[in-house]
Amino acid sequence: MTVPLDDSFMDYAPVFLRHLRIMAAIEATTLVLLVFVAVPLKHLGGMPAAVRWLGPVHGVAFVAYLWLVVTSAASGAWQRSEVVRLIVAAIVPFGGFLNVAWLARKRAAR
Amino acid sequence: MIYLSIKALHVASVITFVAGLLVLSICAATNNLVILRVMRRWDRRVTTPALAMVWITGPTIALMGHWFGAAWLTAKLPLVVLLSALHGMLAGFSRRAERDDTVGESSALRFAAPAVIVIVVAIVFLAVLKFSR
Repeated sequence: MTVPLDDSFMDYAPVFLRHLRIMAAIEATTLVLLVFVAVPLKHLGGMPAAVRWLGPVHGVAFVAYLWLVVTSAASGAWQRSEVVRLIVAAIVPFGGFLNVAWLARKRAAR
Repeated sequence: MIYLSIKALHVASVITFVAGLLVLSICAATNNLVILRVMRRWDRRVTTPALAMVWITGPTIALMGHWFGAAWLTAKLPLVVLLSALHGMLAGFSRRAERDDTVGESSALRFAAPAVIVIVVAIVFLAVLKFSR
């Protein structure tokens, strides 16, 4: 069922892994900006515009990241625990950066 | 005019995406590797970019129309995420079939096409009726 990320994982697998890492970085960055910049600006600074714009941007980034994780999971590239890690860490502020580092190590180990 | 143009682009992208998703889900249930290969090429070139366009134009018109926070949109968003995830599953399934050169049995994917129709009907009702609390 589960196929490790080895050379049999088709020639575009490193590209896919890189896309996943880039998307994880974007998702993690927008979440941190939303929670630690936009939300305080709204509630403490009376500037709701930051949340109004950054909220949808983070939403789209999260869906794109989720789509990549689901696609690679359904293709048998990850173990179940790895999929859980990729999703759970992404919804915690700064947790997504752990995924970025982990995906970089995974790619370097190939 | 700009709002309506983006909305038209959104609807066109949705139609392209849902059509591709339906065909992909039917192909996934056929257990035919040749058909699945053809469909996978279509999916990478047309359906997936259409999905990306849906997610670019959708939030744009929601922002422009000040729809965020409306009950109908709050109810619609999880359904759209579900539809996107379903596409991700099918794309991953077809990727694995091409990689392994074999079509694996998946009981869940047999219900993908009916699930797509049910979710799309719910989304269309929410988007057209725009009910409020």
